[in-house]
Amino acid sequence: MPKRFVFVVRQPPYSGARNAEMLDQILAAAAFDLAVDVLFLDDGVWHLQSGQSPQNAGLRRFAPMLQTLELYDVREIAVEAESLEERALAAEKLILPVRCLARIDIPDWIAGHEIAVSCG
Amino acid sequence: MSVLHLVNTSPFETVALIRCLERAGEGDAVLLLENGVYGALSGCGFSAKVAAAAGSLDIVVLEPDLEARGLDRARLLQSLRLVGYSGFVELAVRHPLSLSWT
Amino acid sequence: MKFVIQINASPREAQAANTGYQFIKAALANGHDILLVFFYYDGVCNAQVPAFAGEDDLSAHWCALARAHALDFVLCVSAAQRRGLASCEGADDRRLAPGFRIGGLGQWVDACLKADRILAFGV
Repeated sequence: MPKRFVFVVRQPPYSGARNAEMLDQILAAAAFDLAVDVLFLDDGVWHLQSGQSPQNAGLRRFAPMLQTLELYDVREIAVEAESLEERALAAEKLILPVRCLARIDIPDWIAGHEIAVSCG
Repeated sequence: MSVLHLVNTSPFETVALIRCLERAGEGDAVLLLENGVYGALSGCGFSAKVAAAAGSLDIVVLEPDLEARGLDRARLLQSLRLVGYSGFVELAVRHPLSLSWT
Repeated sequence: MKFVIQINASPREAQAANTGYQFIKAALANGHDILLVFFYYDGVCNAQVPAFAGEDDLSAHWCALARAHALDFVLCVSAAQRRGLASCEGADDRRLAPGFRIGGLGQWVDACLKADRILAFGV
């Protein structure tokens, strides 16, 4: 059976080269035709905030790059419902369609993978 | 598949330990290492949460990192185990998945 | 068991690279195999050659470990290029400490598929 990967993103956007490098790693696994899931937790959910305009801060837009997750065969993009609620974010207003998981269901969901990778 | 969670930051500086405990499942292990070993202390603001979590999780402290920081066994929560690097390897063998919390 | 280890931190910024080194030594001592040590993010800085050998110089320890156990130490090419450790003309290992080589994420994925365990040091 092919191995299922889960990448867990907990760091907010604009964390230096880390954002692009974590995406490279996710897409590398997806390019192998593997079952790849991504879970956004804690401040990682800020990646999904719509309307980010970092140009005036001298930063590059990362959201369009993150949206390529949909084009590659990433199986599931999941967020923790409590992480959204704590930050007054609504799942339907994010830059990507996501599956919302309750905190209590996170351990079982993660346990359904063979490889887990923390992306900060 | 159970998870070995690695927490390597001090609970006096980050909330990584608490965030990890909130997402760890029954039967998972949490290894406190590097500055994460401060999370094993008793009598601190976070200690009650760690002690309560130790009921369903195997909470383990990396002893060389504890010694490096001059912390005595007597100052730690009673329910936690200490391991060396070989014990760390055994934990990785026992738990198929691993996640790091910073 | 077969392990893939990912090192994500510079040895000069955090303890994590040293922890990874200690873990690998213990895993080998306990009869496990290390299929790949993959250096990613600031972890590629473990392959930098310091201008003078300090007493805490982990790169010398990495070199000795790679040699003693014929380990494969691979730096992600794009992470290494970002940090000036690889040229943009392609693979160029000349800037690296002995024992390290330039590779890619494909090698990491491939090793993950063959491994029993994947562990990362430093987030």
